Amino acid sequence: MQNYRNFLPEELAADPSFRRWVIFNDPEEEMIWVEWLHLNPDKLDLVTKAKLLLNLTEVSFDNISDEEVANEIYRLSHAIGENNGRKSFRLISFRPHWYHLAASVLLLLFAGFWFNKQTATQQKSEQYRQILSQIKEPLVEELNTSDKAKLVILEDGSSVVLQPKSRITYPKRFEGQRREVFLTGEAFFEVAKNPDKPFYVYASTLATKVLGTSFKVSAFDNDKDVKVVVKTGKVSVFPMTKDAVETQHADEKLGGMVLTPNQQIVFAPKELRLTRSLIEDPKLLELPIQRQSFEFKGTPISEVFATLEKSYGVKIIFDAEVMQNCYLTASLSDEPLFEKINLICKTLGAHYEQMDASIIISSKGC
Amino acid sequence: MYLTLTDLNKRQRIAEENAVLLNLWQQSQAGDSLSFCQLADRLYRTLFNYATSYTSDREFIKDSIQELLIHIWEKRETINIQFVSIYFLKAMRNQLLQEFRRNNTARPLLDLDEIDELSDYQTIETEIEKNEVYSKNQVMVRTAINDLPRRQKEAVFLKYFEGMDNEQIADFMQVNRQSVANLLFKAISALKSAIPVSHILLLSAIITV
Repeated sequence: MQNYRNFLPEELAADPSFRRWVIFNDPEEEMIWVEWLHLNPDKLDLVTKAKLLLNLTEVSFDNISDEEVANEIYRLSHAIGENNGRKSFRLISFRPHWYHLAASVLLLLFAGFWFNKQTATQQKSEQYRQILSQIKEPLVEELNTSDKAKLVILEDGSSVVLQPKSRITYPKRFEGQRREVFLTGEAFFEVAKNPDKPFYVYASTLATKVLGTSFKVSAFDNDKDVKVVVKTGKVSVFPMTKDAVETQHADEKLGGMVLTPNQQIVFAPKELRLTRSLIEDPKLLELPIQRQSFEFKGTPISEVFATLEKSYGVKIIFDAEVMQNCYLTASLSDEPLFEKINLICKTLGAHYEQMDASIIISSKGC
Repeated sequence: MYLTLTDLNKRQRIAEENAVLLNLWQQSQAGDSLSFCQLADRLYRTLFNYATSYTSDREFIKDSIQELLIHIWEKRETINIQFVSIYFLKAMRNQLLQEFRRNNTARPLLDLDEIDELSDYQTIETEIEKNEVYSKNQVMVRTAINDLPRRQKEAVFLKYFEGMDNEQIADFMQVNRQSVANLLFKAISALKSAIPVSHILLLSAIITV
């Protein structure tokens, strides 16, 4: 063993043996160092400072979460496994071939941050890896760093209004048995109905399973507890544990804890405990888009488009002069954005196309 | 018994010994894509964190790492590696420099001279703050490290995060050993003065070995 007695803290922090002890918790090195401290009790201060330096640099340079790493490794495995399509990771598909799908589903989720790792979150991380490894399609990641809500359209036509500081990860195409998305932060979902392919939202320590009836869910991050609130319809909620996820994946039924209108669930990850109760204040789950009724009675079309623009954060381009005599009477509710646009266009005999983040309406007037 | 500032178990699970990595690399060279993914998994954190001393654009870093790893996979048969993490870090640096040149106008990235001048502190810090509540001390050290000139920060990363010795760092950064010693000395002095002694003592008092 080297004569560590004359080491400075910064020298000790760079010593391979010392590093194996502090960073990798190597048991053999631990014995050596505990013994050394026993023989050199006056050097406790040295060891403490060196440890502190090492731990602090370790923490300070660490800028990425396990979940993000797992996601990127998944991306890599797909790219080198198939040798194609690697340039398309960040493409977002807007092909609107979904609108044969009828009703839709509303989901509002407010999930925890990805850095809080306790027991349940560790399990979650494992489950993420597990679930990610089964998805064969390239993943797309959308991060909303702006201060406004951002619209994301999934391949099945479901629309997601992603709130600021939130991130959603989803496959480019939903090829498998399930439609699975990963959420960090807050988002408002309108899920296209497809009972054959359940829609799953994995958010922090909680997973939510949706078949296709109309409903609304809200889960708030509050002291690391995750909350789900249902307004209408049915939804199944379960913790991100191995057993629960496997059981839920096994069939298309809604198992686990099924929530019906005006019920809520509180999930305490540390105790792995779900508590179900009635909603005390239904206003709790309202985002601007939820308060929007989308009920129109002889409304000028410019007002209708303005409402949609505001709710979804998209730009709708149309010729106001040509369409000045167009009025809409319709009761739109929880269908995805493009389904709403499609219904409006059908009513008015107009057409629409999607260009980047804008929707262009072409009409000959009414 | 241990100082637990945050969970350090990410790296505990992963023995980053060169022998282990070399073994994975050899299997990768033989065409085993799963081994390559395992290797990438072990090196990912290092590559990502190294890249943050060049830019704070996280998505850009992720894409660069993907490009790099795919490139290495495609060229695996012609690549000869002795020290795995050093090889990948060097390749990472080249990849970043290349991308900066290529994307000079397309991306809101700082050019290389500016990177030396500016600290990444503000953007990265805000990104991190969104996700994690740090203790006062951690924030202080993180701030101090991010405020270091880029070359000093790089040297500290290689020395303490990666565990390279001064000779390896000199070779990696293409400077002589004395320059490395100088960089580290300046960096450590700056860190020491940035963290008030009272905090060190306070922390020391909490730690019992």
